Amino acid sequence: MVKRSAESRFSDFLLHANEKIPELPLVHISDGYHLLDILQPGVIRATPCKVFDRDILYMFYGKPAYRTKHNGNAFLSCHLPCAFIFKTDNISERIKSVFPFDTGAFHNNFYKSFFHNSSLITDFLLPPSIESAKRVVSTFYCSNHEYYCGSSRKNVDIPLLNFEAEGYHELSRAPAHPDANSKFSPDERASAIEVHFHEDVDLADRLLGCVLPVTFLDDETVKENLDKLNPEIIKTYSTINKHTSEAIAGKLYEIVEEIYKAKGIV
Amino acid sequence: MKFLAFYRILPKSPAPVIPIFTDGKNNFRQISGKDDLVLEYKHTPDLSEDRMFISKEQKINTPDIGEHCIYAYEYAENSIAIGDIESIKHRLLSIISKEENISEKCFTILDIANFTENENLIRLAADSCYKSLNKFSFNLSEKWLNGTQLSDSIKEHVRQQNRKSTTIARGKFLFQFTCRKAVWQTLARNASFRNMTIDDYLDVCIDIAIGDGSFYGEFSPNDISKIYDILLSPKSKILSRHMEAVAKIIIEIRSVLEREKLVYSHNILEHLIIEHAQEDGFTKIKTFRARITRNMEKDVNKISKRFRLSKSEARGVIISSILDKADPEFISKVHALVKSKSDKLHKNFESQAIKYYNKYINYIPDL
Repeated sequence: MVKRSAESRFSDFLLHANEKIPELPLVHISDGYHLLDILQPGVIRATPCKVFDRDILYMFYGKPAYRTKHNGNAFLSCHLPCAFIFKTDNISERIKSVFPFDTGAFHNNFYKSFFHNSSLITDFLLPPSIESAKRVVSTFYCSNHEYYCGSSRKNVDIPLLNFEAEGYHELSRAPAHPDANSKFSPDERASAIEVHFHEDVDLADRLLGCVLPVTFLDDETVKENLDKLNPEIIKTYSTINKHTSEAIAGKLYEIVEEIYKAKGIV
Repeated sequence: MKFLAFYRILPKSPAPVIPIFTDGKNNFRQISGKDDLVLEYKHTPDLSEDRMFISKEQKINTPDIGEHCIYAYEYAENSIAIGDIESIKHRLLSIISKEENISEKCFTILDIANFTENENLIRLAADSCYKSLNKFSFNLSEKWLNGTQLSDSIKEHVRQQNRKSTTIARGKFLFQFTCRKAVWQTLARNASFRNMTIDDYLDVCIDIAIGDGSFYGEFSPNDISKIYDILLSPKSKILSRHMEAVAKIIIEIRSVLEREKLVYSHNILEHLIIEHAQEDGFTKIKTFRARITRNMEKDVNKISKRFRLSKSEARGVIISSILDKADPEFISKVHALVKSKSDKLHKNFESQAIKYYNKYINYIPDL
């Protein structure tokens, strides 16, 4: 098969990028409705993915981005999310692929205004390492904090005909924070770097933080398992009011940022 | 637009629920804007049927755009509190005190307390939450408290409350532990004195307690259950007799020590009890206590004169010297105090301390 020129343009563009920037944790967001399915076994499972036709466990580099499934109902899948924030040191070697954005959103054409119709997901595939994520951040954003908040102000010198990098640069200018005002609809905002694992990942002693709805702590099983899993930081949020996806996502962004600040990450 | 049903966002109550409205074709939910007024109705497709329900008692008028949003809270299965933001706050506060379903759930109460901005309730609920996590581990409760959005003053209040109760609980636990250990060790001692195992010794005690040892022969199940009762009951009586006696002595000693403002630890008490508790009702411990107190008083006078210390300081010196397991902070305080009087005195103090130690060690065999 003849190799398409687009196939490695994006990853080649990042080859010489600075990877010596501080590392961000990996974040997995679960639907709070099924929290116990994760806490009890102490494992996040790789589940069948229609886009890649295999079992995949998704995480995002640094961002608590959870509008990822794009299965037609963000309201359902996102409600009362729980965030698991992973230290990268003991899981990074198990990363199987890295993409600069939410592949689910790409698959569902949410990025059509940024990329050419003929662009394929695989055109954006990056080497399976944390360094790939760091290269994306250092290339398209002024800092980790800017990546976290979105709305990049960095001027990037993009070679002519590198449409993938050009499109991604545009995408990086959109705000990540779902509460922020933007010309894009919420599903277009996901410039979060996506990291894939092809196997289950254990939680015990790997968690930098865990964020969950406060009332979940009334469940004895949640408390017991949280104690066993021993995340470094536990944070909760109210469940009573502000149930819009944007409000809850905004809350989650704020809480995760607090964790990063407490740990001196951003 | 008409009210259609409530939608559960959590698997069980108590929890907030979302009122869902319909225009006959599609489902919508309220989006609130400034001052909790309805900004718009947002199309919400694909709602799970199994999370939708209609409460029997409620009739709901759909608020127009610009009117107050409706809040709904399912406090027990299919029982809903509804209202605009102010009225639901009042309703929730009244529900908390009445609904058993909620009153046991401290995190739910905390959530409601924060929502209603009721400072007293926040304090109470936060305190309960901390305690409930502390049952699992101190680590867990501290992580939660550090991670909450509660004010620093409330966090400090919660910590203070729990510091107190932890000290009490720790004291209580150590006390119980000391009693149990002492009971078993006195039983072992008594049994060993008669060359018996503890079980055999207890059997003998039971036989004695019942009056004779003729339990043998054929028994009906009814007899067996009676025997069980008999066997268990005297055994527990004997155990509780031991337990009661030990506890009594420990309390006595503790009150003497506290009265005298002396430093002591549970190790000391345990040692005193185990070594001196006898099966004859622990009379010797009383003698021992009287002797040690009497002798100590003489020495207190001597040491306070010689080192120009107050009597309570002198008592502290003696006890600290005798019992190296005493509170190290206290010992160092006393040492510093004595040392401050003069180095010469300090040296004297040390030699005196060794002397007293050697003297008192005779009263506490095998220390």
